[in-house]
Amino acid sequence: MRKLCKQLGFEVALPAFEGDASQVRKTNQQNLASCDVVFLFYGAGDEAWKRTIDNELKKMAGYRSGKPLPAMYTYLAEPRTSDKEDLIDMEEPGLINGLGGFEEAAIAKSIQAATAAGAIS
Amino acid sequence: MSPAMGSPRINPFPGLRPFREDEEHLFFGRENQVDAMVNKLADTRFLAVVGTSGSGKSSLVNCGLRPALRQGLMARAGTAWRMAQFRPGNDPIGAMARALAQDGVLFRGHAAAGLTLAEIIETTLRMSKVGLIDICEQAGLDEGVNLLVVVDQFEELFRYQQLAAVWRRSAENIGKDAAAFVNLLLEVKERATCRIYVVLTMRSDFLGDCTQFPGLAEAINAGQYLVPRMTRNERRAAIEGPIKVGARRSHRFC
Repeated sequence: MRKLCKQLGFEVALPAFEGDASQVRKTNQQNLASCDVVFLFYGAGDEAWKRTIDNELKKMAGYRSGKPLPAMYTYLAEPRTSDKEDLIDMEEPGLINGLGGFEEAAIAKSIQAATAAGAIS
Repeated sequence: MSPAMGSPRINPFPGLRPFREDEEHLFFGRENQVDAMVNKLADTRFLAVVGTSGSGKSSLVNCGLRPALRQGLMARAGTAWRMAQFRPGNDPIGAMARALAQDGVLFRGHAAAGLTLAEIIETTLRMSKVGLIDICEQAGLDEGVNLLVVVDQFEELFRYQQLAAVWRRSAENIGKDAAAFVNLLLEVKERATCRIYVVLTMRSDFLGDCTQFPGLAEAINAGQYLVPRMTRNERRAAIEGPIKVGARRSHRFC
């Protein structure tokens, strides 16, 4: 996914995985404050993890100093779980179903849609 | 709803009650406190969150520490966490067993045959002071998965002991149970490779009672987090943050 986004001309920032708590938090908040698009990669994480990240994304409005919220997409990857099936059944907005394999076309389409909607500057 | 009625308003402030876990998106202003708790827990694997009544201990743990761990703020532990939370009441080992038996904490989709899962876990916990470590090993959690055990209102251990003494009922049993329970928690920090982390919340006026249990005062000294008063800037963030998020949500859902 990172490779594809880079090929499409985007700078990709990942969450921090090193440092103490305040360093990790600062990096992640800076990313959320400045980004144009968020791809949430929902693979090995469980439902509780997903709920926590969703809540963190809701807090973004508090970090962005009035800047509009970014376009948000959730990319589903293996393993298949009941929570992921439920997201598919409920036709959750911004969902990219990669459970059957890498969905390159769907990611590119999402970025095009975000660009057309003016989310990407 | 007709347009004339406007957007429904969601009050983003919980008032005097603690923040619930599902309100973590409204929890602002205490990030520095949460970060300090995460760092201390990473160092000691035993964290005692201590403060006066109403100082926000439970909110800090429910909406600060727990989400922070799942977000990966304890970088070396990763983001895979199972969490069990309970109040000790007058049956602390039973309460811990029931919390660990919740589906998805240690086991998923356990089919009971004979004994319930809570009874099996409780039996293991009562077998020795390494019972918590044993049941965690039996659960066979995947590589990299951590277990967080949160004992909320730890002071109940002392209150029930006092009540039992007043009632002259089973005071000895409650005392033995409490000691065994404390040993289960303390043993975890003796195992350097163990991926179990213990957090307790307790009112500061019960700190002195902790000396009743060998090793507990030492553990609390090493892993204590005394909840501080919020600074002016933190209070500002606690007010402005939820308004920004709350306003956004009500607009989105109307």
